[in-house]
Parts: sequence; structure tokens; C-alpha cells
Amino acid sequence: MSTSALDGAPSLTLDEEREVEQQYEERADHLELAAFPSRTALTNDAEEWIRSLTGSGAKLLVGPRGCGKTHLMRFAFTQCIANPDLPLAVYINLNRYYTLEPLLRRRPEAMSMFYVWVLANVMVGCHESIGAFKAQGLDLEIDIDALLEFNETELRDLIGAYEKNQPLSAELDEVASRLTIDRVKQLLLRSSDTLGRRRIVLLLDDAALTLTPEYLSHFFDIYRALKSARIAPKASVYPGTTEYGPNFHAGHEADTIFVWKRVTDQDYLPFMLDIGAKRFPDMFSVPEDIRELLAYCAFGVPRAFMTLVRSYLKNAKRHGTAQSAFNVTIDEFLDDRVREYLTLKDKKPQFSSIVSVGKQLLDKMVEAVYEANQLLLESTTRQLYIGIDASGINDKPYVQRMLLLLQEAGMVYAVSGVSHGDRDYVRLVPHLAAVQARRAFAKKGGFSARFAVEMLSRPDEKHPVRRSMSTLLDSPTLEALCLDLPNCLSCQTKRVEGAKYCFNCGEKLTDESTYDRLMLTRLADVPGLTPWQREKLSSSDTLPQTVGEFIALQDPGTTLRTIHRVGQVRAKTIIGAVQAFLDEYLS
Amino acid sequence: MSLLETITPFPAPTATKLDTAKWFDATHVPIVESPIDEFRRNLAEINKLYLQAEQRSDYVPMLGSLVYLGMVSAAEGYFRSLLRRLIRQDTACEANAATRTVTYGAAIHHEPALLPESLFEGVSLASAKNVFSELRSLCGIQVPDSLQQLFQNFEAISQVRHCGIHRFGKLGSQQALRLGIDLHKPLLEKPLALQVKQLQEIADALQALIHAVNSLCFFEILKRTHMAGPTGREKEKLYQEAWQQDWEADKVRFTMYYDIFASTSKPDPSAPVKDVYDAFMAFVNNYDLAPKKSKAAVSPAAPVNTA
Repeated sequence: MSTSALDGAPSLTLDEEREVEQQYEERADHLELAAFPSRTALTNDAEEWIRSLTGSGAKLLVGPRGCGKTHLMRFAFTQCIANPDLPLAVYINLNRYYTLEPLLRRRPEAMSMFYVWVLANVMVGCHESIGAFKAQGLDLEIDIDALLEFNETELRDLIGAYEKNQPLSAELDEVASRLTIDRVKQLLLRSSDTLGRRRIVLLLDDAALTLTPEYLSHFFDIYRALKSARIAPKASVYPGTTEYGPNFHAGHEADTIFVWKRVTDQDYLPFMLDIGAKRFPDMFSVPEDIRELLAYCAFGVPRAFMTLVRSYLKNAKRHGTAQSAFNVTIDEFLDDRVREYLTLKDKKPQFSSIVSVGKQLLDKMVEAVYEANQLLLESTTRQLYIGIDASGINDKPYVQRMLLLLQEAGMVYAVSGVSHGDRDYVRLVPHLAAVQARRAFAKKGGFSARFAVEMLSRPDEKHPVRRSMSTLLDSPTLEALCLDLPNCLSCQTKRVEGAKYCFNCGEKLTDESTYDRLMLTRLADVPGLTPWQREKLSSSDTLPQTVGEFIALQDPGTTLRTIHRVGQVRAKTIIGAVQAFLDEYLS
Repeated sequence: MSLLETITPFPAPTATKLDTAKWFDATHVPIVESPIDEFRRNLAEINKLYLQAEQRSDYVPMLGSLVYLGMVSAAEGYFRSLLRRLIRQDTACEANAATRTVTYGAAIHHEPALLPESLFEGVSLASAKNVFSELRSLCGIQVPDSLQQLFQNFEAISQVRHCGIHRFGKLGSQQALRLGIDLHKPLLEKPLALQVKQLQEIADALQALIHAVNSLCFFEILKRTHMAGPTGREKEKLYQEAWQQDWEADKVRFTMYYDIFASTSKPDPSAPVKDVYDAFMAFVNNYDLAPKKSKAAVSPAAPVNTA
């Protein structure tokens, strides 16, 4: 988000106010349910995705942030309510898992607490579903508490106690002890019978649990246990996730549904433009060529497309030519994507240097694709794929991890590998915004959106640009790849990879809590704040100084408004920035 | 004739009579430390044995089997120390132990401080069931469901320990049955062969259990001192003394409890005694305010209030 117009200027324009409002709307979790059917683009792909959500069988919905997973789930949910032939849908968002992350570092029984927390969330979801069914005017005389055996308020109290890390009262402890997989399954079945639905789909949103692979593997144990003939769990995760745990074999236990639209698909452009037309019609104020080029640069992520369109419209007012507005838009967008990718260094500190090298690798891939396209300017094909010799990747866990992290952040799109001669190649598409920013689809010295779109609409080259890992990265870099593990906290000895105890002093090797560390971030350092806001926040005596203290406030809006010249709207932008920071880092 | 008597010849031992009294360290002065710190110190020493052997590429599974016994012994030692301290220092635990019998020998030879130890002489505390029942009957503490998994792991570790002690590591049928016959039937009479990674998992499982039990007992007993104290609402008054809610006045008594449970070992030492006392006073105030039942959580948390 950019609010640079606020710098030094006390009042907000109407446009800016709208921007603030829209920021919330762009995230599907902030959209009203009623807005879904009209705002959701149903292309062939999307219809199939929805069917996989409402149909039977366990599914993993895979795609990077912003590609519409939440949207699809909430849409499937509304469909299920409206259509009596569809199953009972229960929607559960797990995005607050991170509040339980500190427990992992301090409480040996954290896993049991997480287990109860997940089941309590499922039961709350079930309450909400039945509530939504009743709100649909179904003339049902249901005593929900009796039907579900768990009182909604108690469940919410229980969840709240875990999330705030408070001790459980005797009553809540009793509720917790009743929450078992078997009972939850029974209650789900009973609910579906009562509502006259044959099956149940559990829509488990935001299940990537990025900060806590420990919980993720446990979560998939629960997922597996919930699965039954009539109960189909569907979980949304990021690409590149591998930490499903020893008992869960993705592909075997669940079908993987890739909901990240591939930029090389035949119908890519119509798909994105259709979503745009339904969800943000102001897209039509952007000239057609530019609009299409922005759609390509969004790289299959609707939310990114929306951001690009909005940002272009804003830049177009400030910059003389369409070209410079476009270039600024792409550069800003790419900076944001790279910055988001680099946040993985904070979220997964052990991969910090692998993430840094991953950025170098991305740049090299982009360069390779750029060079290939420069040779095709006068030709009839395009080159979006890079093929990396698999021998430099197989059996190299750090290199594999690097590619997975790039996928997780949506910086590369992996497609099935190919063989060429006696060699196997891993095929990847690097982010098109990066390729575009390198001016891959432009003749020297000239920018033409028309030409770029024409080139991007061509068929693919027969073979990808082929490279080996050792030509993309020099050998000292490759050989130096390693995990970044903190030294033993007791004796400062360098730790051995995979060790739980220090060989020098015999003490437990502990990791600090990422959540606790992020909560210590100074409020004024939150990205997306304007210099004016930073200055005000850091010089205020009434406001808390860290993010952790800030979000603990009962009513941060009121507290913010104690600052001179901060009113409703500005308070909202600041809260929005903190929320975006939390979402970005913790989900 | 002599051939018949010496099918396995062996030289006569030089020490004809073993002097067991020399085997123990008579000069040892017990360190004043909490049971948990004693456990952590012991476990760390054991960890160094196999981890450093691995560093030198000297590790063999035989070492692993021996180390394993040491780890379980460290855990068992913790439970003994903790129960002994509680019987000596907490009046409710002392009352629970009062009707138990100790042997005559222990009664006349033990120092009073160590006498409670003899209560457990016939009991193995390398058993989840026994630990469970001692916690309940002596301390009045019910182990919550959230600790089930940790205790189950402890029970598995204890079962395998039987094989280590009595059968030189080979899996016996009793243990296979208890560990789950489906998975263990093919392993009957197969020897234990632990790798360093597994030893670390075992150490981790034991330490997790002991830290969890330690935290649980501390909180439960401390709560009880107030709830079953003169001003508490429990019917049965287990404590005559009330908390004064003044640090200077409560310091001695509170520190006594703190010292039983707190750990000074790095990493993650316990919070300072005054901080823990303040947290306890917050609990006491909350409890006193809530007339009937105290509800822990009032509203589910939202990350940011966007109103």
C-alpha cells in the first residue's frame, strides 16, 4: 500500500479515503458474503475448482497469497447454503494460528492445545454454518447448542483463552476435554442429517501455518483423521509446502488442486480480465494494451492484478506518459513482491541465507528469459520457461528448498519437468513482472505496450531456455549454501544441523519465538506508514511503542485519535498498515 | 576330573571381597538445587556422552543402550526428589503422606530430610501409571488431558527400559504387547539399536514431560495454597496460613515454593521470583473478585480492532 500523498499534508482526499476502503475489500476475508456470487468470476477453471470444493474427497487447494483461495472457499460456502443438493459446508479460517506459536517454544503440551484449538474452531465453524442456513430462511426449528453439544460462547472463550495464552478455567478445561476428533465427526454428521444434507465439506482456509511447521504436520494428522466417507476436508496451502509431516502423503491422502492460474495457459488473459471486470470494474479506465500487460504482470494472482490496476491509475495522474506511469507501477509492484519474498528470512530464519541466494537465482533466471526473448523479437514465439538441469537440483536439499521458497512466495511458477536428450530439466516460469521490468518484451529504446502484449500472446518456444544450476550461480555460492542456525544459547557453541541438544554442554537447543520477536517491532517501523505517521507515532507519549503492545489495545482507533491531526481515516490507514504487516508476516 | 569342573576357566579375582562402601562418594555435599535443575544437570551430562562420542565418530549403539538407562534414571530421580521436597515442605502433601508406612530401618537410619525418600523405595517411578497415581494420592493433582501424549511417550520409554535392564536390550513379549503388538511382533527378541537422533528424541520427550509436570505441579499447588487456605472457597482447608498479599510478608513462604520448582539453568531459566509472585497475586485477586466461578477468557481476541 502506498499512502505517500499523505506526507506532510494533514487532510486526506476523497480518492485516498476510497483507497483505504478498498484495501479491505481486496482481501476476500473482508468481503461481505452477499457480494460473492456477483463478484466472483466463474471461468472454466474456477468452476472446476469450486466443484472440487463442494464435491467429495479430500483436497489441497494450492496457490500463493492473493490468488483467490479464500474467495473460492467462501464462494463454495455460499453455493452450498443455496443449493440443497450440495453438502453442508463448514468454513474455518486458521489464520490466527500464529498466536499459538509462542506456546510451541514454552509449553511442552503445545501440540495438545493446538489440537483442541483446531477442533474448537471446527465446531465454531459448524455453529456459523447452521446459523447461515437458518438465516437463509430455512424453516428449521433447531436448537443449535443442543444439536452440537458445545455452546458457541464457550467455544469462543476457549479459543480466546488459547490465543491469549491464558490459563483455562475449570469449565473451559471441561469443554476442552470433550473436544475429540470422534465426537467432532459425530456432531458434523448429526448436523448434516438434521439439515438434510448427505455430505459435509470442511473448508479449512489459511492452513499453510508458515511460521510453525510443527503445527502444520500435526494439523495434517487431524485433517487425515477427520476425513471419512461423508466428511471431505479441503485445506488451502501455499505452493512449495513440504512439511505435511511423516503421516501425510500429499497426492495420496488428498488431491492437489492448483488454483494458481498459469500465465502460459491459452485462456490466461480472458481469465484475468474476466475476474477484473467483475471485481474491480475501474479496470476499464486503464487503456486496453496496458490493462492486458498488467494482467500478465499479475502472474496469475487476481489480488496482484487489482493492486496493479489501482496503482497504475494513481501513477497515471502524476506521471506524464502512459509509459512512465506503467514503468513506475511495475517497479513499485516488483519491489513489493521482492520485499514480501524477503520476509521469508524473518519468518523462517533458518533459511535466511538460502532466501538471499534465491533472489540472486531469480535475477539470473529473469536474465536468461530476457536474453531469449530479445532474440525472438522479430520471431513468432515467446519464451517464458527456463529449464534447469535436474542433476544440479536432485539430491541437493538446499537448492530444492531454495526453489520451493521462491514458489511459496509466488516468484516462480513450477511446471512439470521435461527430458531433453538424456537430461531431465526442471521447468519454471519466473515472475513476469520481473521479466517485464527487465524490458524483455521491448525493442531497444522503445516501449510499446501493444508490442509487449502481442509478443506475450504468441505461442511458446518448443524448448525452454536451458541452464544448469552451476551456470546460474557460481560454485562458491552453491557450496556455501547452509542453514542459518543460532548458536547454543547456553554455551554459544555452533550447533549441528538437526540436533536437539548441544554436543558441547548437553543443553537443549531452543529457538526463539518468531511471533514474540515480531511483536517487539517498533510501531513506527511498520512498512507502509508515511514519514509523517512514523514521526507522530514515535514521538507520541500516549501510544504504545511496539506492535505487540499496540494490538493488545482494546480500541487502537481511539488511542490513535489522541494524536493531533489523526482522525478516523488516518487511524484506519495506520491500523490497516499494522494489519497488513501482521498478515504478511504471520499468515 | 578338573576338566569337568572348568568348562569355562577364568583367573581368580584379585579383590576377593568387594568393598561396596568405597563405591560411593562419601565426601559429596548435596548441591542446593531444585529437582528440575538436578534433572537438567544429569540429562545434560548424559547428552554430552553420546553427542561427543558422535562428534569423535566413536558412537556405537551399545553406548546408546547404556545412555538410555541413564536418561530414564534421571527422570525417575526427578520424580523422587520432587515428591520428597513436597512432602517435606507443603502441608497438604505432608498430610497425604502421613498415613503411609516407612520401613523400620529407614525410620531409624535416615535423616528426617531424606525420610520421605524411603516412602518410594518399593515403587518404580519409571512408570507413567505410578507417577500418575503418586501425583494424585500424594499431591492431590489430577493430570490433565493435555499431558496425555507426554505421559504415553514416557510409558513407552519405560517399557523399553525393561528390555534394557533385564534382557540386554532384546524386546520381550510383555513389552511388545504393551507397546502395540501389531508393530512390534516382528521385533520380538531383536536387540535395541538406538541412533543418536533417537536418543535426542528420547531426551526431548523426557525433558518435555518433566518440564510440563513441573509447571503443572507448581501452578496447581500454588493455587491450592490460596483456594484451600483460610480465605479460600474450598470446603476442606488444607493450609492454616493465608497469603498477606505483601511481598515482604509473603517472601519467605513464596520463595520456599519457588525454590522447589524454579530452574536456574540456561537456556530458559525461570522468571525471577518477584515476577512470579506478582503473577500469583494477580491470580489471587482475580479469584477473590470472581464470586462463584472464574472465567478465564471473556472475549475472543481480534488482532486489530478496526472500528
